[in-house]
Amino acid sequence: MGESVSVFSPSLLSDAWELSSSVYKSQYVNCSYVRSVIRSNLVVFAFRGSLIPNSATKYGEYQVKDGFLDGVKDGNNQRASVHQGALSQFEDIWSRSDFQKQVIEDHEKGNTIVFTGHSMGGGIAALATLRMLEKQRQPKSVFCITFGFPLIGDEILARGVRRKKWADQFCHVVLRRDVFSRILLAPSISVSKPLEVLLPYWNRSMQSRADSVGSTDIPMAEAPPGGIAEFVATVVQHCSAVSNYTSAAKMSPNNPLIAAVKPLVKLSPYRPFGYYLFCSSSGAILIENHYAVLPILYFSLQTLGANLEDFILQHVNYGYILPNSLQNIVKLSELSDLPLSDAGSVHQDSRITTQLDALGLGIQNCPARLALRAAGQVLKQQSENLSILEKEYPKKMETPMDKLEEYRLQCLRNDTGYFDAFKKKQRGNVDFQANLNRLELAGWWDEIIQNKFDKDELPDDFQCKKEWVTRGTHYRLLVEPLDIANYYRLGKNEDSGPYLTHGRPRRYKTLQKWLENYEEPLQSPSTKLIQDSCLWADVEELACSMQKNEYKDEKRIDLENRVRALTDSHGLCVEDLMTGESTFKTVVNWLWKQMTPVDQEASALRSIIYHPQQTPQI
Amino acid sequence: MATDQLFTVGQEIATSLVSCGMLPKVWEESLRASKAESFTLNEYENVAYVTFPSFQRLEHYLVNEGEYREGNVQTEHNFFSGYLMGNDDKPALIHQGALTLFLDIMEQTDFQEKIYTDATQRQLKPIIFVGHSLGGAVATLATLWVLGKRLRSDSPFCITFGCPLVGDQRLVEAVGRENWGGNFCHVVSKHDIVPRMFLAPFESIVQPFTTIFPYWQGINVSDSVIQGACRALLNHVLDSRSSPVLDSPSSPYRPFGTYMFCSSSGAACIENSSTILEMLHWTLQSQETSFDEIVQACLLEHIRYGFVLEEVIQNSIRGRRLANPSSESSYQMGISLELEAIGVGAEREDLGHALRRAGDTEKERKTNVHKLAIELGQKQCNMAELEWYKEVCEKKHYAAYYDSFKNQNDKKDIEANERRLKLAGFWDEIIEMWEKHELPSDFQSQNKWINAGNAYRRLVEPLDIAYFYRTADANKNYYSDGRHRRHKVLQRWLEDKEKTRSSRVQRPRTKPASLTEDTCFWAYVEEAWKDLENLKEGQHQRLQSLEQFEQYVTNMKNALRISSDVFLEGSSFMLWSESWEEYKRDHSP
Repeated sequence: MGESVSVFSPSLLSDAWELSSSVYKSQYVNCSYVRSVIRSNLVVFAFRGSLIPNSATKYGEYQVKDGFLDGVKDGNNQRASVHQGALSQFEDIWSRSDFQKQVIEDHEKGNTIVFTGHSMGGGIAALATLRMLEKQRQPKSVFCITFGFPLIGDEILARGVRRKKWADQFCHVVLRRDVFSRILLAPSISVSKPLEVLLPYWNRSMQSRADSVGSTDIPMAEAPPGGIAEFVATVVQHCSAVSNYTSAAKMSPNNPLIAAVKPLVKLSPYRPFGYYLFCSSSGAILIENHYAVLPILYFSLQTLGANLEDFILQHVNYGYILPNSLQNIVKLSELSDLPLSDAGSVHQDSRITTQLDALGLGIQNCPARLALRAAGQVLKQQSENLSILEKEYPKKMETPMDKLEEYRLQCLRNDTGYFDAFKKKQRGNVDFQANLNRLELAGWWDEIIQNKFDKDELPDDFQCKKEWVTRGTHYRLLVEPLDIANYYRLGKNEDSGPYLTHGRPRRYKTLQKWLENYEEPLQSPSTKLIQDSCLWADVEELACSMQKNEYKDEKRIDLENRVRALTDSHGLCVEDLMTGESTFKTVVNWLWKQMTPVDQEASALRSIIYHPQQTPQI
Repeated sequence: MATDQLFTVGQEIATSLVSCGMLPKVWEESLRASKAESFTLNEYENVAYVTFPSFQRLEHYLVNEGEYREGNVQTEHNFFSGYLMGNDDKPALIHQGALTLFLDIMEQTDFQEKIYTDATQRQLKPIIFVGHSLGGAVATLATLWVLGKRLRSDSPFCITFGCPLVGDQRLVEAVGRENWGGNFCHVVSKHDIVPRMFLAPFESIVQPFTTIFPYWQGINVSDSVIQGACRALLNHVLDSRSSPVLDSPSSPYRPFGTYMFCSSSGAACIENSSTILEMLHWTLQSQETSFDEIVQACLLEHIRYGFVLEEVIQNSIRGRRLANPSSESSYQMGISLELEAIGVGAEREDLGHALRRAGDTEKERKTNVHKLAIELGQKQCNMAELEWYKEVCEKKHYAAYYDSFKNQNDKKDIEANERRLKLAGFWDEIIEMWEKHELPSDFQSQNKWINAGNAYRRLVEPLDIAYFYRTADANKNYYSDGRHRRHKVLQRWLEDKEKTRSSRVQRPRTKPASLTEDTCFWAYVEEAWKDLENLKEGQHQRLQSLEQFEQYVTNMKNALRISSDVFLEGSSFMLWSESWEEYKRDHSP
């Protein structure tokens, strides 16, 4: 476990459980959370929540709005979805100023905050944690412990959590047969009827146990309601559907049948995020590999040889089972070579063997073992792919990058910008070599982005790794102008349309997005480049208009806006734009002639035209 | 992904399709429509279900003409014209009865109208074609029709239960070429006789099938009669494989699409046609089940898919346990589990090989295409060098690169020839691999390769033409005698793809194309030279083709589809043009 995760000690987990179960006491019936200072600098908030039936969507999911999880979006800027019932309960609590004030005050005092909760209370705790994580300080100061947590967030949220390295701040404690922790994998309608009986039953059980804490009367245990077989089967069935589907999609991403079926089946959108602690009465297994969580949620719930009542009882039996299981926590880290047979098990830590058996994941459950191995293999492959890239980078990318840097300088020495030199290709072999370097780099980045990154074959946080964002940005700023030059030189705008809308390679779009999502400042590169790699595309479109003599104010204003943004952020390199007889200069001079004096006065182009390094043009 | 090599996914896909409730729902739809006169269209949760009735008339199953009751699609009608062709360019054979039923629906109901309406109104919402028994064969044809018409941006999906085989190897090839295999899911229960029936010689199944058929329609038939018929039918189907009779050719029918084999132990999906064919045969028998039980089951399972699917669900809920797993290889264990799931037993190593072979082929194809992609990246440098060559010719020597190359006067021309040969080798290799089925079936329709091939053809075919006219006999014509197959194939790939692209409005050009669009342009110029010489020698019939060429050039030039190097002073074309103008002047009345 990473250093910061040591907060998830057995003693903290027990404390969290105690507080989570205490919120069920009758005396707290009007409170939705309880706060407790466990030890100095450690404040725990426990929530009570309930599963609110919702029929607006098939699984009760709801796409979050601005102001929450703003930093968690996918490649197409789609926002995450979470369970609406959980979200509305959380927002109720959060909007009550005393709670929010308390949390923020505790946090600002330098306390570590732990949010916790049982059942849907865990869902609320997770949302509270996500809310606070957006503003946490370093080192990590906000954590989440849940018990019997139903999955409440979708794939976008899960990816966001991993990308931002928040996963180790969540610990979801789940009992092997706690059916509630899988319940949102089934369509709301398919379980709504039995839940009308079960939810009150679970609530009564928790309350009577909480009320009896400290008293000598042991409460009469109420027997679970009957007619649960079908309900349990429904949940396991949908668990199977989600787990099998995600396994297949992950192992065979190009499978044509999976692709064809995708629009036809609407599976539960919820996916696990954070670490999981799967518990049985003999111990617990800590799982960090998110790919392994769904298979375990499914395979450990299979009904073979089980007592049906367990599936209902375990949701409220954490208090009985945890003391034992927390004594014996093992971590399952390398899954790709998990044994499949007795012969293989000989080399395995016997404590792990025992715990896997206790969760129903022993070698006899061969499909489960294979699913876990596959989950391990995916992560292993991702990190292997990364180390191959790291090794290849200096060999394959640095040389052509250096050569293109040198090309740019050489052009400037010869009194042209490298954009125009490349576009006009008049000086011979040098420009041709630059073109080869451009192609070499394009091939490499396409391979990384289209064949690795887009296919999830690199670690989730690849796009947040500082060195790769830096490399990608440097590449984009230096080389994209050459791609634009090439595009217009060959008249591809005639074939396809403007570069920006029809010709921009995906590699540049992706690399730009990486930079936009990167939160820390990047080291500035040794040479100063124009910080907007698309500026030349606007210039070229204007050059086309100039040839046809079709002046349009909007196009001019577009260019001015780009230039203004660059001037304001000191991202302009005037040399590249104005050296020699550049296209930029020609276009700007033409624009200048079309502009009214008032426009000229306000224009962002003014500062370039009258730039100190340049002799005034007009 | 590298994990493809280590794990199988056939069971995971099958289990998820059943567990998520889709297949049970589809079966329900199919039952509801089984007695209908014609097709039924229902919408449920934004998915449209088009269902075809199951058992209509016996004579549709057993059409009494032609040896295997196959109709020849091409000659019958034009619904499938042009695309259900084998690799030998001959039309696929299709079961006559299913075809007749399909044609009736196409011609005598509002089916076409409804599908067209659906395609425009629900463009982005999915549609599933469903059928049980022969209804499944009709659903298959309906799906092929919609796929071929490319009516929808989202392709339709087809699910059948206990569907008899529909077509031959050419159909398998056509579907593979279009990459439609994933759009068909044929659910087949372990003992259901109907999906295997057409593997037996037609004469042998007529009698027993005729006896059994009324039973499925709900008509009372005496048990003993049924038993006897089932026994006979089963024997003929089993025999068709185990003892091939030399003088009767084996059945032409071949499975295509994805097959989902279901048994009481589970289910698994298989995509490879020849593996499916093996499994259709071997799943039918097993050591644990007595022949009498199979006789019973081969009749009942055909109409009990609801029960079959429920068993798959129950299996996934309960979970399976292996008494004594013995291998540490994920792949091997995956294969064993798959064999067990479809009910042939994990110990059938020969069938394990068949499954593995299918997996290996796919894996190999992926490795090949990955290697080619890397090589394509490297070949971009050769392309850039030739582009550069073209520019040097124009800017420094004021000559079209075609002419410069044809003359081979300079070191740069010799170097260009080396690059031409390298690129030719690369594309020849690709085409050879494609023809030997060593590349994924959708290779020729992937944009990346189509665009790369097109770029190659536009830049380099003129050099191939130049080489041809430099070296070939004077009386040979490039277009008919010398054009290399790689150019023809690449051009066909592009044209096939263009058909599938929604018509893009071509914006008028404002500048000449950087490379002439018609890659054979220079060959036309060479032929025009010859025509002109011949004309001067008195062959007046050449006049017409010269005038046609002149008209063609004018049109192309006006549309700016000819690159400007063609019109450089002193180019072969300009010289011809001057000579032709001269001739016209001299001969004008």
